Amino acid sequence: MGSQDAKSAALQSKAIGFLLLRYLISSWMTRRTRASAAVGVFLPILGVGVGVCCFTVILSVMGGFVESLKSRLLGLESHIEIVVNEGFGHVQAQQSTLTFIRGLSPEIIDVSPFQKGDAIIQSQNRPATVTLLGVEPSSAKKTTSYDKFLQFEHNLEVLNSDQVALAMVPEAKFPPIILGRELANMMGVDVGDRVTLLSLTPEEGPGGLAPRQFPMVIADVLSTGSPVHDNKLAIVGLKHAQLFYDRDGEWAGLQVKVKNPIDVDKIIPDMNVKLKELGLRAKPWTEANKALLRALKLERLGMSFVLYMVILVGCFSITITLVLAVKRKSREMAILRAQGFQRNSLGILYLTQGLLIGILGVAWGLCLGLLLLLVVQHAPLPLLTSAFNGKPLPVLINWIDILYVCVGSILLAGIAAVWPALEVMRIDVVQTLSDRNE
Amino acid sequence: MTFAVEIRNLCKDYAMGDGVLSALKGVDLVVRNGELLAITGESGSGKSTLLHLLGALDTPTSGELLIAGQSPFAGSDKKVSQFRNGHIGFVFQHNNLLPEFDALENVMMPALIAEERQSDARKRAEQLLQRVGLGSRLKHFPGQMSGGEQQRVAIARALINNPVLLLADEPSGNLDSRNAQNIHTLFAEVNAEFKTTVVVVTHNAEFARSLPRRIEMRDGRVVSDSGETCKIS
Repeated sequence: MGSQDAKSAALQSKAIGFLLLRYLISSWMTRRTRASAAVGVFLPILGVGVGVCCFTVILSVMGGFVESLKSRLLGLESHIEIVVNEGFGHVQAQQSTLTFIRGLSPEIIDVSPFQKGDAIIQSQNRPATVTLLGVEPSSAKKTTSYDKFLQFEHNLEVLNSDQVALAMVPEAKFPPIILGRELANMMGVDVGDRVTLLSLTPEEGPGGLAPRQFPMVIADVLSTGSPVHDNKLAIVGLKHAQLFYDRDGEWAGLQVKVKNPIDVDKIIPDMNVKLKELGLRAKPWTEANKALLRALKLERLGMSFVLYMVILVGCFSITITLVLAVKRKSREMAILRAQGFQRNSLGILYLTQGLLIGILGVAWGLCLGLLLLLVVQHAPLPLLTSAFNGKPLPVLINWIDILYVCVGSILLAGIAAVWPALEVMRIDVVQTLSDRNE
Repeated sequence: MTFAVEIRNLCKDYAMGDGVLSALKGVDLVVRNGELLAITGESGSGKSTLLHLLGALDTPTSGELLIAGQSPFAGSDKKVSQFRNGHIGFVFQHNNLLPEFDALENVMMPALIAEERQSDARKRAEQLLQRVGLGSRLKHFPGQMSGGEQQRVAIARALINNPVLLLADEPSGNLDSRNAQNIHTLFAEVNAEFKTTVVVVTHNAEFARSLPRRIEMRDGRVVSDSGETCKIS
């Protein structure tokens, strides 16, 4: 007779599972309960899913955009510049310095010296102020990607030999210079044209004070898509830059390329400790673009916050619909209690419903989000491609972020079910059964 | 000798605003194993309160209540729930069943709450539904069954864990006379066949008269008991 105490496990998991299966999955199949099941289950699943889908799509597209920006920045510039620690001093041009810097970290791939300053370029048509960069072509090819963006030769080695100036009689050769695409357009010059490089500070000459003048020939044109480079940059050979600035035997600094530029900040403190002995310091690309990177980070943070709010609103619907379910099913819950269903088991039933709604919402939201990302990446939709120079939107799926948002959403869904769980545990069995039984 | 129910000086008070409402005022009652008895009385006489206490759904203010020699109120909610699940079966007046589950699943539920295997619970539920004459209605949902059929399902469900005590609160109160008669007969059959002690709260005087023992309550007290008085020390 009767005693089932030994069998009644603490969790009553079989009954909970049986009830959950019906309440969450199969109840909508019965026409009679379809409408209430739709409200109780599908709306919150839809709400959480929409939030997760938005999060996945928007942050992946944002991530892709940021990565594309970073790779463009990184693709052009060196990852680290080694410069003098204080003021505007110069680095002594010694092979030992290069060797020392190469040995600073196993992360370093290559090092190349550079000279840098401001100058004026004068063409037949008009002058323009430029940032003049002097590089050693063979080593600069290993630390920067300028050659990829050259329009004709695609090789910085073009800076190694003097070039013939077109339209000059008699034929004459001059040192080569590379100009940014927009700069060349603005000055009305092209490859083969002769230009004159003028120093900003005049110097004493036979005819009195005059700027230093260097005739040069445009050897190639740089087209990067970055206004900073295309409008302002002029590249010459290192030795010509040293000569122009009268800095023979000195470098403005050294350009360093590392294996993992995204995490470059991790190696900077160690490098700086060692560089301090030489009066030098390492300036990572992140420092040069600090404001931009901070703005992007802030934008991402703000967007994440907004999207988390969307998910939170989805989770609110879990609370509302489960509380409504508690009210609607209070008599059923009281009958279950009369059959020996424990108060804690009722709580677990509702908490698990919340968690399962969260899991189902996350699952469909993630699937839809990834599907949309596939469409965004591969389908040539004019509405999307027009926003990114006619190319498909860049996408970077950060799985760690997505994992965080999925786990976070499921936890939020669980938290959203706490109130309904407490409500259902508070049901007064006698009162509920008496209310409609008398 | 162990009785199905032993009640000594059972009192139940409810706080009503500033005052106290005494629903039970010192009830003494003994029910032998296998008895079939009716509790009658007017509304507010305390019969439903007594039924709720017998079912361990509520706790008494004072006095002692033993079911099969054990107090159902000793221990945590887990202990009380386990006791209820294993010792007591309920049949309420109406809306007895879970609407989203078919007849078979409704009957299985107390066994699943007791963590029995689904296959075992299903087998016994089928047998019980066949016993109450609903072998062809296993997959019907409550909404697809008549009131009488629903009460039969509720009786089968109350029996699935072989309870010591089957409590019924106005089980035929919502039924027409023919269905009510069928349910009354079924209670008698269940009592005879399963040797389960059955306590029925009813307003139906004819039904009450047909049972071997009748207890009448008034104003929170037992005022008459047709059964043989059992003295317990």
